[in-house]
Amino acid sequence: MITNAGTSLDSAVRMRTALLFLLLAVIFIILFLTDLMTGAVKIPASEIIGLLSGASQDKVWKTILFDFRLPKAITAVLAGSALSVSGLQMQTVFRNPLAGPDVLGVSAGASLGVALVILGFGDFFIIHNLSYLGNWTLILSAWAGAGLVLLLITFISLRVRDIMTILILGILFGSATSAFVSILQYFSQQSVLKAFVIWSMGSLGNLTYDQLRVLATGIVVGFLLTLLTIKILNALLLGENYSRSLGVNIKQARFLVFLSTSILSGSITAFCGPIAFVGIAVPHVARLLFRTANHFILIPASLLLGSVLMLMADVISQIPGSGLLLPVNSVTAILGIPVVIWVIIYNRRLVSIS
Amino acid sequence: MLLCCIVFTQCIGKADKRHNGPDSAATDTIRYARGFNYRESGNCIVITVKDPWQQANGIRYHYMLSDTFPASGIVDEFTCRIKTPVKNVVCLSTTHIGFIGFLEQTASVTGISGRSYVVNETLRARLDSNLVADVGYDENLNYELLLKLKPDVVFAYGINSSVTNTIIKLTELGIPVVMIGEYLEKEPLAKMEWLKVFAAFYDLEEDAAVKFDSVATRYEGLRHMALKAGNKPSVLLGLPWRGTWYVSGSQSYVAHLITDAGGKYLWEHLDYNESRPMALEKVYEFALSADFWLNPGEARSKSDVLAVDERFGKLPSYKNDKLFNNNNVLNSAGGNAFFESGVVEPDIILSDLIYILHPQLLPSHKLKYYRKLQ
Amino acid sequence: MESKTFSKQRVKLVDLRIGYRTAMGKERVVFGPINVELSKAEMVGIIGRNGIGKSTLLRTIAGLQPRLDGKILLDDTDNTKIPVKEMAKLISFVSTEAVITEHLTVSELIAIGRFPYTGWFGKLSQPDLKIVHEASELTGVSHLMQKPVHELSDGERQRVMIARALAQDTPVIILDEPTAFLDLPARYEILRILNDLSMVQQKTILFTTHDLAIAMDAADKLWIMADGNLYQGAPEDLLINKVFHKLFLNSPAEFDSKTFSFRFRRACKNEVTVSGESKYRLLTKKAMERIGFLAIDEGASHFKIYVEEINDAPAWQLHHHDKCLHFGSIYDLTKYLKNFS
Repeated sequence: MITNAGTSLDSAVRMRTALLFLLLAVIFIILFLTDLMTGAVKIPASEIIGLLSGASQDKVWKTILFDFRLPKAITAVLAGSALSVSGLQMQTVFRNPLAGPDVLGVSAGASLGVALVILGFGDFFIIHNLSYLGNWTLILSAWAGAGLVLLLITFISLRVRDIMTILILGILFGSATSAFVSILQYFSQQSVLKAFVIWSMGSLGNLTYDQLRVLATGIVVGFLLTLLTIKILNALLLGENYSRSLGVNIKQARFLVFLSTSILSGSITAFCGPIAFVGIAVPHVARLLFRTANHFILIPASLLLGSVLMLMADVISQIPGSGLLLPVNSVTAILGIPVVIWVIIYNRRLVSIS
Repeated sequence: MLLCCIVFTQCIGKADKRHNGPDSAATDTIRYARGFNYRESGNCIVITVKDPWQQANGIRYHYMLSDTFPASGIVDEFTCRIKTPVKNVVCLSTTHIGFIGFLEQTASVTGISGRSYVVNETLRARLDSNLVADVGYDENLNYELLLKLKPDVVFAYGINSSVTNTIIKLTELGIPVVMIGEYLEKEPLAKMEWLKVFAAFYDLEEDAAVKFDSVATRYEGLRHMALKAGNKPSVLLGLPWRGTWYVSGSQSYVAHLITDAGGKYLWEHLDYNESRPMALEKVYEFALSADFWLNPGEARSKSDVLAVDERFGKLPSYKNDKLFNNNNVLNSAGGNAFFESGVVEPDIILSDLIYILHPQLLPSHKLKYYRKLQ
Repeated sequence: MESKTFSKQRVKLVDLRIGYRTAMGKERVVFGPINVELSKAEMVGIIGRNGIGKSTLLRTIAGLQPRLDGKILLDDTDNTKIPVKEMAKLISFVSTEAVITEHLTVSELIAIGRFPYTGWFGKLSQPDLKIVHEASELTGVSHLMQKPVHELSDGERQRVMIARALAQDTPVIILDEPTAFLDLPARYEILRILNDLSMVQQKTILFTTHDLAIAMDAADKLWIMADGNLYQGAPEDLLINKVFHKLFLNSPAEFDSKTFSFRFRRACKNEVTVSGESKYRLLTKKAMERIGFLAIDEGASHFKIYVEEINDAPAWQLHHHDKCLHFGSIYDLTKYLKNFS
């Protein structure tokens, strides 16, 4: 949308953008392979290549590579890209550089769903001989929680004109659900409490291929919706009033963006637990690197950068060695917070949204 | 008051005199347990509980028991005087119920902590007819209710020093608290030996000694038999969840059981008690070498285990149906008898384990506490 | 490029009442009823005191705010019956809202104006790019196309915003205070552009402003919002009918029909006669009135000023109360005379 009739300056910009994408793609591939080669079990890199190409058939290592590392790497890519894109959407719609995918409280809703199962109804599950720690139980309850919050937000966004009000309400929903979760935690036994805490630290390595398929479907649906919103997001750069005068149906636009964000971030939270900071930090890095506000470029840029960041986080989380693993949430925070601080300090015009 | 002091000094005096004397046949009778000292001096028994919670280091609680005391009372922060036999007790842990049940003194229990965990049938019936009260636990201990119950003694346990708050509060209310540190014992027989502590409160010391000796003899016999088994199958314990190795209870206790049952405990080199994050692929690699998989959390069936992570289905212990859990005896709310009556039946637990690891040694044994996961 | 459905470009307001609906459902009528009309290629300025509802009126006409009562007819079609996307091709809006977006170049901002015409991904076609380029030329910003918007001066930025509205290619362009925050030359620039748009491109321009003098000079018609009524007419008509006085009812200013300008109401305590070199007479009279001396042509007054030109420079001679003083500048003259006012 925002391209110009060719001038020499413009083609220089295009060249730069293209080169950046190429560079990012290369880094992505390198990190993906690195992630496959990193792990608690020592597998030599040459073996990895061999296993991937089919040359090697070592059973144990094959299982570890294809059943553990590959799904984990794919999950990292999905999580990083989904969270970054939804973070970008939130920042544009709310014109707030500190907005992230959890700003609508969707992630908090997912946590509530999981908390209710693990902390609230744990007894029910035990009595009726059901496994409350089963993955699908958690995923469904998280989705239910996220969906509920989405419904609430949609209802509100259709009635409230001011986008700032919606932002505040979303944040308050998040706080309210967190408070409720705290109550559940207070009354819980130690064992289930620990189980919930571990869940809330996020983890990328728990998905089997079946679950990965479902997650991927959700993410693809979310991304398709995002494609529909690219043009609207560009119009929203001028603010909602101008967008309205340009013919944007604000209610529809908000709904589309909220739906896409909820599906993206809700799915990731459901399958991996809450993951922080990726959604806030990556869009800023994308803007600074590509020096544009055009969502046509920023969305794929955030997608790539998000995947890169998440792969990096996954590699770093395994650094302690001897099988010890750092929780994903902490690593993304450690990587993401300096970025956010740098954005705030270096970019003094904090009011801008892109 | 004065009378109490006289009696008190009498007791201590005699104890001191006897300390160097040859009477300490009493202390000889404690063969396994390390968490308490047991001294008889005349008609007074002094039980000293040592380091009753993790990292207690040097904390000592002294309990003086005698039927000659006019009443129970609190001497100071670390010392109590209990008039025996006690008629009215509150147990804050289900293992305490196990001990008291073994002594057939269940009727004396007027309060427990967490009704859903209680397996003992008699006690459950009394709970349902409100003859026994649930006094809550940890921060939510119902002190008012405890006051109302006016127990002769409250048997308590502590995970860490925060239990001192409870002790102080109860002491202020004039209720004697007895710290039971059986869960810190590493050997199964040491654990069971705390029976003698409970027995002292009911004046059933001899009865307990006899019962304990017979269990110990049986246990030792089984252990020796298992030693001669020939092979030592490797055993994996616990259930990893989302990349964290999730272990409940005392690791070493189960380790001892497994070693005594003629198995090789895979976790030997990783010596810790609670939960620890570990990369799933490392878990998997570890688990690959296990012949048997025991105590996988709360799982009651193979599908429970599979639901947590499908990849467990590839493990040899899963495929070969060598998956066993110690939750065979459960009440309707999920309370596990392993942590109640199991504490006084280490010989049966050992038999279960020997049957699992070396079935040919006990061909006619029927599993009690352990179940095979189907 | 022009919308076929809006050929007559006539905007008619019938019994329009504008205002707000509160959350409780209560109505607050800010202004109304209004009955006026906008014709094709007209440039109309809306004047009114702050808070009277100029912006509300603009936004209601643009369809950004719901009307409380009455009708807004675009070529005899009720505007509520026109879908939002079609409206975007009929009316474009430039507000006072500051666009605070980094990394947005001028050409990108103008291109956003093509939103109603581009496809799902917003890709610009060749005709689209041509329109963007034309818009930038008409507003004189074509040399700034690659510059980031936040690096522009206020005047340049305002022109870019107008370019965006132009790129939207609507027959009607509505602007809210287009000259606010601009320095004087920039103000004239903007209004000249708007004038050109109305005369040459045949666009209908509706704008609000506080700049009465400039509006009177440029607009075909003015809408004056005062004492609950909306008066419309050519600036001169409104002067004749003394409509402007309604704007200045309680203010220290008044409209001077002789000089066609607004000036402070001043109570003149003294009188002074000014005679001499005609070149400087009017200016001197103005200065006198500024310090409270009414300038009369004939008659007896205590103060007499004679202005003459000596060596191409003006000089003032003041006679009063038997004194005769000479001054080289109006400043010195007024400084002295101030002592007597």
